[in-house]
Amino acid sequence: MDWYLDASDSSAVTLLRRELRDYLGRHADRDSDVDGAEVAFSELVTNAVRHAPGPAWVHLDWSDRQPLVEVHDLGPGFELRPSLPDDPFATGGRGLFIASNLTDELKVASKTAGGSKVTAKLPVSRAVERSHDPPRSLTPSLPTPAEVDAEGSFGKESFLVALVVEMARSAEAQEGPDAVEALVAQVGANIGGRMEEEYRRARDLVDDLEPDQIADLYVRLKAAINGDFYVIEANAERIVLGNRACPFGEAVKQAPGLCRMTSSVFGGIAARNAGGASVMLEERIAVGDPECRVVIRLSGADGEETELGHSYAGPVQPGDPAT
Amino acid sequence: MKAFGLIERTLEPGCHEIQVEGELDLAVAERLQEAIDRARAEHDRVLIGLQACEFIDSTGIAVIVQAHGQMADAGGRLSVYGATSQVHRILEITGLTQDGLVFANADEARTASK
Repeated sequence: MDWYLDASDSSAVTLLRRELRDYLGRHADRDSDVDGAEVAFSELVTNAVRHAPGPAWVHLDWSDRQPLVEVHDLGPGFELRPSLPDDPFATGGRGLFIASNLTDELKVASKTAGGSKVTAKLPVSRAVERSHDPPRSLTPSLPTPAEVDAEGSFGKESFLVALVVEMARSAEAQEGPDAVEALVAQVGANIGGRMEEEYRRARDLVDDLEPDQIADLYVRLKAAINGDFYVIEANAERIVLGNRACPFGEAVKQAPGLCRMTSSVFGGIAARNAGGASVMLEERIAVGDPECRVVIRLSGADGEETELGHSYAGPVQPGDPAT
Repeated sequence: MKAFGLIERTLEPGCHEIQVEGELDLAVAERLQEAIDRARAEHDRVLIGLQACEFIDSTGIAVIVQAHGQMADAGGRLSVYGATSQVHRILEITGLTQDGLVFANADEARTASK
Protein backbone atom coordinates (compact mmCIF):
# COMPACT_ATOMS: atom_id res chain seq x y z
CA MET A 1 0.00 0.00 0.00
CA ASP A 2 1.16 3.52 -0.75
CA TRP A 3 0.06 6.86 0.55
CA TYR A 4 1.00 10.43 -0.26
CA LEU A 5 0.82 12.91 2.61
CA ASP A 6 0.40 16.63 2.34
CA ALA A 7 2.51 17.93 5.21
CA SER A 8 0.33 21.01 5.66
CA ASP A 9 -2.69 18.90 6.59
CA SER A 10 -2.13 17.48 10.07
CA SER A 11 -5.47 15.65 10.06
CA ALA A 12 -4.14 13.51 7.20
CA VAL A 13 -1.78 11.87 9.69
CA THR A 14 -4.71 10.98 11.93
CA LEU A 15 -6.71 9.50 9.06
CA LEU A 16 -3.75 7.52 7.79
CA ARG A 17 -2.98 6.19 11.27
CA ARG A 18 -6.58 4.99 11.70
CA GLU A 19 -6.56 3.39 8.28
CA LEU A 20 -3.38 1.55 9.16
CA ARG A 21 -4.73 0.43 12.55
CA ASP A 22 -7.89 -0.97 10.96
CA TYR A 23 -5.92 -2.71 8.23
CA LEU A 24 -3.51 -4.30 10.72
CA GLY A 25 -6.43 -5.33 12.93
CA ARG A 26 -8.13 -7.16 10.07
CA HIS A 27 -5.14 -9.36 9.27
CA ALA A 28 -3.01 -9.58 12.41
CA ASP A 29 -2.81 -12.63 14.64
CA ARG A 30 -3.93 -12.52 18.26
CA ASP A 31 -0.50 -11.94 19.76
CA SER A 32 0.17 -8.90 17.64
CA ASP A 33 0.74 -5.51 19.22
CA VAL A 34 -1.56 -3.46 16.98
CA ASP A 35 -1.73 -0.63 19.52
CA GLY A 36 2.05 -0.40 19.67
CA ALA A 37 2.26 -0.52 15.88
CA GLU A 38 -0.24 2.33 15.67
CA VAL A 39 1.81 4.55 17.99
CA ALA A 40 5.08 3.71 16.22
CA PHE A 41 3.53 4.42 12.83
CA SER A 42 2.15 7.72 14.09
CA GLU A 43 5.62 8.71 15.30
CA LEU A 44 7.31 7.92 12.00
CA VAL A 45 4.75 9.75 9.90
CA THR A 46 4.49 12.70 12.29
CA ASN A 47 8.26 12.99 12.28
CA ALA A 48 8.26 13.25 8.46
CA VAL A 49 5.55 15.87 8.19
CA ARG A 50 6.86 17.98 11.06
CA HIS A 51 10.56 17.99 10.38
CA ALA A 52 10.80 17.86 6.61
CA PRO A 53 9.54 20.44 4.15
CA GLY A 54 7.10 19.30 1.51
CA PRO A 55 5.14 16.11 1.23
CA ALA A 56 5.89 12.62 2.53
CA TRP A 57 5.27 9.20 1.07
CA VAL A 58 4.41 6.13 3.07
CA HIS A 59 4.74 2.61 1.78
CA LEU A 60 3.66 -0.53 3.58
CA ASP A 61 4.71 -4.01 2.51
CA TRP A 62 3.14 -6.90 4.42
CA SER A 63 4.04 -9.75 2.13
CA ASP A 64 6.27 -11.24 4.84
CA ARG A 65 5.21 -12.15 8.34
CA GLN A 66 5.67 -8.64 9.75
CA PRO A 67 4.70 -5.44 7.92
CA LEU A 68 7.59 -3.26 6.78
CA VAL A 69 6.78 0.44 6.79
CA GLU A 70 8.79 3.00 4.82
CA VAL A 71 8.40 6.74 5.24
CA HIS A 72 10.07 8.94 2.64
CA ASP A 73 10.42 12.69 2.95
CA LEU A 74 12.31 15.56 1.33
CA GLY A 75 14.04 16.68 4.53
CA PRO A 76 17.77 17.11 5.03
CA GLY A 77 18.03 13.76 6.74
CA PHE A 78 18.87 13.10 10.37
CA GLU A 79 20.73 10.74 12.60
CA LEU A 80 18.82 8.26 14.61
CA ARG A 81 19.52 8.66 18.30
CA PRO A 82 17.38 6.01 19.90
CA SER A 83 17.60 7.43 23.40
CA LEU A 84 15.46 9.69 25.52
CA PRO A 85 16.44 13.30 26.09
CA ASP A 86 18.74 13.68 29.13
CA ASP A 87 16.18 15.95 30.72
CA PRO A 88 13.08 13.82 31.32
CA PHE A 89 10.99 16.94 30.86
CA ALA A 90 12.56 18.19 27.65
CA THR A 91 9.78 19.17 25.31
CA GLY A 92 10.83 17.19 22.23
CA GLY A 93 12.94 14.30 21.03
CA ARG A 94 10.76 11.38 22.10
CA GLY A 95 9.07 10.39 18.86
CA LEU A 96 11.76 8.24 17.31
CA PHE A 97 12.67 6.80 20.70
CA ILE A 98 9.10 5.61 21.11
CA ALA A 99 9.11 4.26 17.55
CA SER A 100 12.39 2.40 18.06
CA ASN A 101 11.06 0.98 21.31
CA LEU A 102 7.94 -0.41 19.69
CA THR A 103 9.34 -1.64 16.37
CA ASP A 104 12.05 -3.93 15.10
CA GLU A 105 14.91 -2.83 12.88
CA LEU A 106 14.25 0.90 12.80
CA LYS A 107 16.63 2.43 10.25
CA VAL A 108 17.19 5.86 8.79
CA ALA A 109 18.86 6.38 5.42
CA SER A 110 19.69 9.55 3.52
CA LYS A 111 18.79 9.29 -0.11
CA THR A 112 21.35 10.38 -2.68
CA ALA A 113 18.79 12.48 -4.53
CA GLY A 114 17.87 14.24 -1.27
CA GLY A 115 15.41 13.46 1.45
CA SER A 116 15.46 10.60 3.87
CA LYS A 117 13.88 7.22 4.27
CA VAL A 118 12.89 5.67 7.60
CA THR A 119 12.03 1.98 7.69
CA ALA A 120 10.77 -0.22 10.50
CA LYS A 121 9.12 -3.56 11.04
CA LEU A 122 5.86 -3.14 12.93
CA PRO A 123 5.24 -5.41 15.95
CA VAL A 124 2.42 -7.41 14.39
CA SER A 125 2.33 -10.73 12.58
CA ARG A 126 -0.01 -11.80 9.88
CA ALA A 127 -2.40 -14.50 11.05
CA VAL A 128 -1.27 -17.80 9.59
CA GLU A 129 -3.90 -19.74 7.71
CA ARG A 130 -3.76 -23.50 7.50
CA SER A 131 -2.88 -24.82 4.08
CA HIS A 132 -5.41 -27.05 2.37
CA ASP A 133 -4.18 -28.79 -0.74
CA PRO A 134 -6.48 -31.75 -1.36
CA PRO A 135 -6.11 -33.90 -4.46
CA ARG A 136 -8.79 -33.54 -7.11
CA SER A 137 -11.63 -35.98 -6.81
CA LEU A 138 -11.21 -38.98 -9.10
CA THR A 139 -14.90 -39.09 -10.01
CA PRO A 140 -16.06 -36.68 -12.76
CA SER A 141 -16.74 -33.20 -11.39
CA LEU A 142 -19.13 -30.49 -12.50
CA PRO A 143 -19.73 -28.58 -14.68
CA THR A 144 -20.39 -31.30 -17.26
CA PRO A 145 -18.75 -31.17 -20.72
CA ALA A 146 -22.18 -30.30 -22.20
CA GLU A 147 -22.17 -27.01 -20.25
CA VAL A 148 -18.91 -25.72 -21.68
CA ASP A 149 -18.99 -23.18 -24.53
CA ALA A 150 -16.75 -22.99 -27.60
CA GLU A 151 -14.27 -20.79 -25.73
CA GLY A 152 -13.81 -23.44 -23.07
CA SER A 153 -15.70 -21.46 -20.38
CA PHE A 154 -18.92 -22.10 -18.56
CA GLY A 155 -21.53 -19.63 -17.33
CA LYS A 156 -22.62 -18.43 -13.92
CA GLU A 157 -25.58 -20.82 -13.62
CA SER A 158 -23.34 -23.81 -14.35
CA PHE A 159 -20.78 -22.48 -11.94
CA LEU A 160 -23.29 -21.99 -9.13
CA VAL A 161 -24.81 -25.45 -9.56
CA ALA A 162 -21.31 -26.91 -9.59
CA LEU A 163 -20.45 -24.94 -6.46
CA VAL A 164 -23.47 -26.21 -4.54
CA VAL A 165 -23.25 -29.81 -5.73
CA GLU A 166 -19.48 -30.10 -5.29
CA MET A 167 -19.77 -28.49 -1.85
CA ALA A 168 -22.40 -31.05 -0.83
CA ARG A 169 -20.36 -33.94 -2.27
CA SER A 170 -17.19 -32.82 -0.55
CA ALA A 171 -18.97 -32.30 2.75
CA GLU A 172 -20.47 -35.76 2.46
CA ALA A 173 -17.07 -37.31 1.71
CA GLN A 174 -15.46 -35.56 4.67
CA GLU A 175 -18.23 -35.40 7.24
CA GLY A 176 -20.72 -38.09 6.18
CA PRO A 177 -24.25 -37.95 4.73
CA ASP A 178 -25.96 -36.89 7.95
CA ALA A 179 -23.74 -33.82 8.27
CA VAL A 180 -24.70 -32.74 4.75
CA GLU A 181 -28.40 -33.22 5.45
CA ALA A 182 -28.09 -31.14 8.61
CA LEU A 183 -26.31 -28.34 6.74
CA VAL A 184 -28.77 -28.36 3.86
CA ALA A 185 -31.69 -28.38 6.32
CA GLN A 186 -30.29 -25.21 7.91
CA VAL A 187 -29.88 -23.53 4.53
CA GLY A 188 -33.44 -24.57 3.61
CA ALA A 189 -34.81 -23.18 6.86
CA ASN A 190 -33.19 -19.81 6.21
CA ILE A 191 -34.07 -19.50 2.53
CA GLY A 192 -37.56 -21.00 2.99
CA GLY A 193 -38.28 -18.38 5.65
CA ARG A 194 -37.35 -15.62 3.19
CA MET A 195 -39.50 -17.17 0.46
CA GLU A 196 -42.53 -17.21 2.74
CA GLU A 197 -41.92 -13.63 3.91
CA GLU A 198 -41.86 -12.31 0.36
CA TYR A 199 -44.87 -14.40 -0.74
CA ARG A 200 -46.81 -12.89 2.16
CA ARG A 201 -45.55 -9.37 1.57
CA ALA A 202 -46.56 -9.45 -2.12
CA ARG A 203 -50.08 -10.53 -1.16
CA ASP A 204 -50.43 -8.63 2.10
CA LEU A 205 -51.06 -11.83 4.05
CA VAL A 206 -50.78 -11.86 7.84
CA ASP A 207 -52.86 -14.86 8.99
CA ASP A 208 -51.74 -18.49 8.83
CA LEU A 209 -51.71 -19.75 5.25
CA GLU A 210 -54.43 -22.27 4.32
CA PRO A 211 -53.32 -25.62 2.84
CA ASP A 212 -54.15 -24.51 -0.71
CA GLN A 213 -52.13 -21.30 -0.19
CA ILE A 214 -49.21 -23.30 1.16
CA ALA A 215 -49.38 -25.58 -1.89
CA ASP A 216 -49.52 -22.54 -4.19
CA LEU A 217 -46.44 -21.09 -2.49
CA TYR A 218 -44.57 -24.41 -2.93
CA VAL A 219 -45.36 -24.61 -6.65
CA ARG A 220 -44.46 -20.96 -7.26
CA LEU A 221 -41.18 -21.00 -5.39
CA LYS A 222 -40.14 -24.18 -7.18
CA ALA A 223 -41.23 -22.88 -10.60
CA ALA A 224 -39.15 -19.74 -10.04
CA ILE A 225 -36.00 -21.88 -9.85
CA ASN A 226 -36.91 -24.21 -12.73
CA GLY A 227 -38.59 -26.96 -10.74
CA ASP A 228 -41.76 -28.47 -12.20
CA PHE A 229 -43.90 -29.21 -9.14
CA TYR A 230 -47.66 -29.76 -9.29
CA VAL A 231 -50.32 -30.26 -6.64
CA ILE A 232 -51.79 -33.74 -6.27
CA GLU A 233 -53.69 -33.12 -3.08
CA ALA A 234 -54.04 -30.23 -0.59
CA ASN A 235 -56.29 -30.49 2.47
CA ALA A 236 -56.16 -29.90 6.22
CA GLU A 237 -54.36 -33.19 6.79
CA ARG A 238 -51.78 -33.22 4.06
CA ILE A 239 -50.36 -31.70 0.92
CA VAL A 240 -49.03 -34.04 -1.76
CA LEU A 241 -46.90 -32.72 -4.61
CA GLY A 242 -45.42 -34.31 -7.71
CA ASN A 243 -42.36 -32.98 -9.55
CA ARG A 244 -41.07 -33.63 -13.04
CA ALA A 245 -37.86 -31.57 -12.94
CA CYS A 246 -35.28 -30.89 -10.24
CA PRO A 247 -34.00 -27.29 -9.99
CA PHE A 248 -30.47 -28.71 -9.62
CA GLY A 249 -30.92 -30.68 -12.86
CA GLU A 250 -29.23 -34.00 -13.43
CA ALA A 251 -26.43 -32.91 -11.09
CA VAL A 252 -28.60 -33.64 -8.05
CA LYS A 253 -27.93 -37.34 -8.60
CA GLN A 254 -24.33 -36.69 -7.53
CA ALA A 255 -25.49 -35.09 -4.27
CA PRO A 256 -28.85 -36.51 -3.22
CA GLY A 257 -28.40 -34.89 0.18
CA LEU A 258 -29.60 -31.70 -1.52
CA CYS A 259 -33.16 -33.12 -1.48
CA ARG A 260 -33.16 -32.08 2.15
CA MET A 261 -33.46 -28.53 0.83
CA THR A 262 -36.97 -29.29 -0.42
CA SER A 263 -37.86 -31.05 2.79
CA SER A 264 -36.63 -28.16 4.94
CA VAL A 265 -38.20 -25.38 2.86
CA PHE A 266 -41.55 -27.20 2.62
CA GLY A 267 -41.49 -28.42 6.22
CA GLY A 268 -40.60 -25.05 7.70
CA ILE A 269 -43.37 -23.25 5.82
CA ALA A 270 -45.97 -25.90 6.69
CA ALA A 271 -44.94 -26.02 10.35
CA ARG A 272 -45.14 -22.24 10.79
CA ASN A 273 -48.66 -22.18 9.33
CA ALA A 274 -50.13 -25.44 10.62
CA GLY A 275 -48.47 -25.70 14.02
CA GLY A 276 -46.01 -28.41 13.00
CA ALA A 277 -45.44 -30.72 10.05
CA SER A 278 -43.60 -33.74 8.78
CA VAL A 279 -42.23 -34.19 5.29
CA MET A 280 -41.69 -37.48 3.49
CA LEU A 281 -39.73 -37.58 0.25
CA GLU A 282 -41.60 -40.59 -1.07
CA GLU A 283 -40.07 -40.64 -4.55
CA ARG A 284 -36.91 -38.82 -5.58
CA ILE A 285 -35.39 -38.05 -8.99
CA ALA A 286 -32.07 -37.71 -7.15
CA VAL A 287 -31.92 -41.43 -6.35
CA GLY A 288 -33.26 -42.66 -9.70
CA ASP A 289 -37.07 -42.39 -9.48
CA PRO A 290 -38.71 -40.95 -12.62
CA GLU A 291 -40.38 -38.13 -10.66
CA CYS A 292 -40.39 -36.76 -7.11
CA ARG A 293 -43.37 -37.22 -4.83
CA VAL A 294 -43.45 -35.24 -1.61
CA VAL A 295 -45.98 -35.76 1.17
CA ILE A 296 -46.31 -32.99 3.76
CA ARG A 297 -48.41 -33.98 6.79
CA LEU A 298 -49.86 -31.02 8.62
CA SER A 299 -50.05 -31.66 12.35
CA GLY A 300 -52.24 -29.23 14.23
CA ALA A 301 -55.68 -30.85 14.18
CA ASP A 302 -55.10 -34.58 14.73
CA GLY A 303 -51.49 -34.30 15.85
CA GLU A 304 -50.64 -37.52 14.03
CA GLU A 305 -46.99 -38.46 14.43
CA THR A 306 -44.97 -40.49 12.00
CA GLU A 307 -41.40 -41.65 12.38
CA LEU A 308 -40.82 -41.94 8.67
CA GLY A 309 -40.76 -38.28 7.63
CA HIS A 310 -38.66 -35.34 8.75
CA SER A 311 -40.37 -33.49 11.62
CA TYR A 312 -40.67 -29.70 11.80
CA ALA A 313 -41.93 -27.96 14.92
CA GLY A 314 -44.49 -25.20 14.82
CA PRO A 315 -43.94 -21.77 16.34
CA VAL A 316 -43.64 -21.67 20.13
CA GLN A 317 -46.93 -20.35 21.56
CA PRO A 318 -47.06 -18.03 24.53
CA GLY A 319 -47.62 -20.20 27.59
CA ASP A 320 -45.85 -23.25 26.12
CA PRO A 321 -43.44 -24.81 28.56
CA ALA A 322 -39.93 -23.52 27.86
CA THR A 323 -37.81 -26.01 25.96
CA MET B 1 -13.61 5.61 18.76
CA LYS B 2 -14.55 8.87 20.40
CA ALA B 3 -14.17 12.21 18.67
CA PHE B 4 -11.49 14.36 20.24
CA GLY B 5 -12.76 16.71 22.89
CA LEU B 6 -11.82 18.46 26.12
CA ILE B 7 -14.07 18.65 29.15
CA GLU B 8 -13.03 21.24 31.66
CA ARG B 9 -14.09 22.19 35.14
CA THR B 10 -12.64 24.02 38.08
CA LEU B 11 -12.47 21.64 41.05
CA GLU B 12 -11.69 24.26 43.67
CA PRO B 13 -10.16 27.71 43.64
CA GLY B 14 -6.78 27.45 41.92
CA CYS B 15 -7.32 23.88 40.71
CA HIS B 16 -8.57 23.19 37.19
CA GLU B 17 -9.22 19.85 35.53
CA ILE B 18 -9.06 19.09 31.79
CA GLN B 19 -10.39 15.70 30.66
CA VAL B 20 -9.07 14.53 27.32
CA GLU B 21 -11.44 12.47 25.20
CA GLY B 22 -10.51 10.58 22.03
CA GLU B 23 -7.17 10.53 20.28
CA LEU B 24 -4.46 12.99 21.21
CA ASP B 25 -2.14 13.38 18.24
CA LEU B 26 -0.56 15.98 15.98
CA ALA B 27 -3.90 17.13 14.58
CA VAL B 28 -5.32 18.17 17.95
CA ALA B 29 -2.33 18.65 20.26
CA GLU B 30 -2.57 22.41 19.80
CA ARG B 31 -6.10 22.43 21.21
CA LEU B 32 -4.86 20.82 24.40
CA GLN B 33 -1.98 23.28 24.50
CA GLU B 34 -4.38 26.23 24.27
CA ALA B 35 -6.63 24.81 26.98
CA ILE B 36 -3.69 24.30 29.32
CA ASP B 37 -2.36 27.78 28.60
CA ARG B 38 -5.74 29.28 29.46
CA ALA B 39 -5.99 27.16 32.61
CA ARG B 40 -2.54 27.95 33.94
CA ALA B 41 -3.11 31.67 33.43
CA GLU B 42 -5.80 31.48 36.10
CA HIS B 43 -4.92 28.47 38.25
CA ASP B 44 -1.73 27.23 39.81
CA ARG B 45 -2.78 23.59 39.67
CA VAL B 46 -3.93 21.81 36.51
CA LEU B 47 -5.03 18.16 36.35
CA ILE B 48 -5.15 16.36 33.01
CA GLY B 49 -7.58 13.39 33.08
CA LEU B 50 -6.79 10.67 30.54
CA GLN B 51 -9.49 8.04 31.33
CA ALA B 52 -11.19 8.63 27.99
CA CYS B 53 -7.99 9.32 26.04
CA GLU B 54 -7.70 6.48 23.55
CA PHE B 55 -4.41 7.33 21.92
CA ILE B 56 -1.33 9.35 22.71
CA ASP B 57 1.97 9.83 20.98
CA SER B 58 4.99 12.08 21.42
CA THR B 59 3.10 15.13 20.17
CA GLY B 60 0.59 14.94 23.01
CA ILE B 61 3.32 14.05 25.47
CA ALA B 62 5.36 17.08 24.41
CA VAL B 63 2.45 19.41 25.18
CA ILE B 64 1.96 17.89 28.63
CA VAL B 65 5.66 17.85 29.49
CA GLN B 66 6.24 21.40 28.32
CA ALA B 67 3.33 22.70 30.38
CA HIS B 68 4.50 20.65 33.36
CA GLY B 69 7.90 22.38 33.17
CA GLN B 70 6.45 25.82 32.73
CA MET B 71 4.09 25.42 35.65
CA ALA B 72 6.82 24.03 37.89
CA ASP B 73 9.03 27.03 37.05
CA ALA B 74 6.19 29.33 38.04
CA GLY B 75 5.63 27.49 41.32
CA GLY B 76 2.53 25.64 40.15
CA ARG B 77 1.92 22.05 39.24
CA LEU B 78 0.50 20.06 36.35
CA SER B 79 -0.41 16.42 36.96
CA VAL B 80 -1.76 13.66 34.76
CA TYR B 81 -4.01 10.86 35.97
CA GLY B 82 -6.26 7.99 34.89
CA ALA B 83 -4.30 6.83 31.85
CA THR B 84 -5.62 3.64 30.24
CA SER B 85 -3.13 0.80 29.93
CA GLN B 86 -2.26 1.69 26.34
CA VAL B 87 -1.65 5.34 27.11
CA HIS B 88 0.17 4.51 30.35
CA ARG B 89 2.46 2.23 28.41
CA ILE B 90 3.59 5.10 26.17
CA LEU B 91 4.10 7.38 29.19
CA GLU B 92 6.15 4.60 30.76
CA ILE B 93 8.32 4.07 27.67
CA THR B 94 9.19 7.75 27.75
CA GLY B 95 10.16 7.58 31.42
CA LEU B 96 7.47 9.96 32.64
CA THR B 97 5.82 7.70 35.18
CA GLN B 98 8.50 8.09 37.85
CA ASP B 99 8.78 11.81 38.38
CA GLY B 100 5.63 13.02 40.02
CA LEU B 101 3.79 13.78 36.81
CA VAL B 102 1.61 10.70 36.37
CA PHE B 103 -0.89 9.47 38.96
CA ALA B 104 -3.36 6.60 39.05
CA ASN B 105 -6.47 8.63 39.82
CA ALA B 106 -7.80 12.11 40.38
CA ASP B 107 -7.58 11.96 44.20
CA GLU B 108 -3.92 11.04 44.16
CA ALA B 109 -3.17 13.71 41.58
CA ARG B 110 -5.06 16.31 43.62
CA THR B 111 -3.47 15.40 46.91
CA ALA B 112 0.00 15.38 45.43
CA SER B 113 -0.46 18.74 43.78
CA LYS B 114 -1.45 20.51 47.00
